[in-house]
Order: sequence, then structure tokens, then C-alpha cells
Amino acid sequence: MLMLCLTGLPLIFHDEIDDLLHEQVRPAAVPKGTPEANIDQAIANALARFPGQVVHFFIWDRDDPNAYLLSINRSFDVDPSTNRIARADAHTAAYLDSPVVTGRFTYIMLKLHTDMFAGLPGKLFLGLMGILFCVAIISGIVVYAPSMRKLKFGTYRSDRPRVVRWLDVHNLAGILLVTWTLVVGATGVINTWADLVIKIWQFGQLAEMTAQYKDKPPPAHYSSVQAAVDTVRRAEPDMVPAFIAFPGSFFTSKNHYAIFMRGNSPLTSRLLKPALIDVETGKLTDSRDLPWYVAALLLSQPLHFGDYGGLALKIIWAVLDLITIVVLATGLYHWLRRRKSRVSVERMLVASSSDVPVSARSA
Amino acid sequence: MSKASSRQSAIRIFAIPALVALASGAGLAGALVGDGVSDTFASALVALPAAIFCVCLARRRGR
Repeated sequence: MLMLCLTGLPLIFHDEIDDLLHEQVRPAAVPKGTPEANIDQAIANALARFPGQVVHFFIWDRDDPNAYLLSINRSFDVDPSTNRIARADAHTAAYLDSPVVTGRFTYIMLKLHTDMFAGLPGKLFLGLMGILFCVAIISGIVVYAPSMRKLKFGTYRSDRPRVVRWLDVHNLAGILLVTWTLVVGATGVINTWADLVIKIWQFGQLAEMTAQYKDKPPPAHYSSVQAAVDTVRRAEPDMVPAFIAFPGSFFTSKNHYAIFMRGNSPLTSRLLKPALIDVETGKLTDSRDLPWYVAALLLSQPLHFGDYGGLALKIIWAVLDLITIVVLATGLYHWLRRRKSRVSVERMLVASSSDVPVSARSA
Repeated sequence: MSKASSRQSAIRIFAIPALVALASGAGLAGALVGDGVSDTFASALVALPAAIFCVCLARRRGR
């Protein structure tokens, strides 16, 4: 847990850290209200730099409306987590750059934080640790009562030995942070199930939505992506596009552009609604809200990252993370101390009874 | 004061922690739903536990 708190701390500010450490090509400055560039053009410009590659996903950058992001790889048969990102100017359609992120400090922190470089087993292991963390918090609430029976709330006995002072700090910080640690812990656990949740959605709702195309051959020609987006925008005037999954990629069939729309209020902007466009005809074939289990996953993400209330909330997240580290450190101190004292008590008992064989003493 | 009379009931022990827990819960949810002014207010609620922690430590021997 200490490792998760330590690696999580820089991740709160990963955007800011990346901006500070890594140069990137800036999109052209345009006056407000400049229309977005044609998506087909942006894709063509980017792929001209990476001949033979295919686009898996096309993403509207949530944090930077001036940039399109393209997730590309050499084919659709590869693990999409190895995709590289190419950036394009959202107003001129010009190719910007394709940063290699795998050597970055924030990337290493992210891998340590999510799966310790061990893939799905690593993720599920950390999820289990998260569950134990939540159990520990609840057991902490239970033992808070007896230890506070004779003390007022917020007592900090600064004139007492370290063991008492640190117990007070542990009790006070632990009980104050109950809500936040439980929320961040539980939403973190949910995030470790993301891969599984998406798989369930693929075999459930997505399979249903594309059932009639199951035995169709791959499309003979590809209609315009821009036209597909325009069609969906007309069908969902109150939503904005978040990303497109291309036929053959992870989130759609071989015959559909899947355009994932999001709402425009703070809460609904976290939720997605996929709209499927037939690649050959350019017609909208189906559009449904995501099932509750994907919605729960999507809503648990901001509550874990703390990225939904601007820089102020990020700083608060960091402070609460630091206090959690204090709770963990003081808890560890008391646990080690108790273990040590138990050992010494046993040793004393052994030493005082002269009839115990030597072999038992050394054990 | 004798030991018996200084003992507190569970309700008294958990009164303030429960209020703080509710406030931070409201803040976490409020920041997710709201925007602008309500966002700032919600953030302040989320920060409340950290503020109380600092005040209690600074107060030294809390009575």
C-alpha cells in the first residue's frame, strides 16, 4: 500500500509533470470558434508519416481541444496496449508529433501503480491488496472506539513518548480520512477489473449490437469517417464525440465505426454511449447507453484519479495521499513494535524456564 | 475525574468523525456533479479532514 501511495502521488500530476519534462509540438493558435479540421484529412496526414500502419482509435483530447490523438499500430492483431500515439492539429489537420512515452517517469510510475509490470495478474494482485486495504480501514474504525474511550476527539499528546504520539497521529489521521481512503481504495479496486469489465461488455452488449453482421465479410470499401461522425452528431445533438474505434479494433466489429459519444454536463461527460456506423453504407445501425457495470467503471475513474475538480482538487488529493502515507507509516511502526515485543516476551519465558531443551530455545 | 465518568459512549466518540466522513463524502460527490462555484465548495469539503488534522497537531495537547 505504501508503494501504491508513493507511486500514486506523482501520477496525480502526470499531465503537469509530462508538460514540464517533455517538449511537444504545439497546435497552431487559432481564434475561438474555428471549426474542427476534417478527420479523414488528419488521419491521412498522420498515416503518411507511418506507412503501412493502421489506426485503432481516434480520440478527441479531453484536456486539449486543439489536438486530435491517433492510436496506431502495425496491424489489428497486436496487443492494443503497445499502440503508439500520434498527435494531429484539430484545426489544420497537420501531423504534430508522436511522443514515445514508455521511457517516461510518469509511465514507469503508472506501470508500478497499476500492474507492477506483470500484466493482468499484477493488476488483480494489486486489486486484492486494495480489498485488504479497505478491510484494514474498517477494522481500524472498529478499534478506534476502545482506544478513544477516555480521550477527546483530536487529542494529540505531544508531551508523551513517541509511541503514544504516533498512536494519536495514527488514530486521528486514520479516522479523519476514512471516507477518502475508502473511496480511493474501492475505486482503485474497481479499476483493476477494467480489462474484465470491457471483455464482458464485448461479449454482451457489443455482440448483441453487431449480431446481424456476424457472418458478413469484411467491408469492401470504407466510407468517410468525418461523415460518420457528422451522422452521429445529428442523431445525438446533446452529446459530443469522445473517441472512434475503427473496424477490426478492440471496441467494435469488423464492419463498424464505433463512435463513443459523451454528455456535456460534468457528470454525463464521464459516461459514454457507443453509436455504430456501417462502414460501407455510412448509416447509423445501433446506439445504446453502456450497461451499468461499464458506467460504474467510468464513474469510478475520476474518483480514483482526483482529476475532476481542477488543480485545486489535485493538490488536495496529494495532501490527503501524504496524510495516508503518515497513517500507513505509523501503523507499520506500531505493528512492528508489537511484533518485536511479543518475540522478546517469548524469549524471556524461554530463558526463565531452565528445563526447556536447548533445541527448543533456538527455535 | 474518576475513570468511569470520563468514559465516553460510542455515539460521542464517533460524532465528529461521522460528520467529517459525511462532509467529505458530500464533497467528493458534489465535485463530480457540479461545476464552478459548487466545485470550489465541494473541494473545500474534501480538504476538511486535512485541515482538521493540521489544527489538532498544531494545538498540541488537545483538551
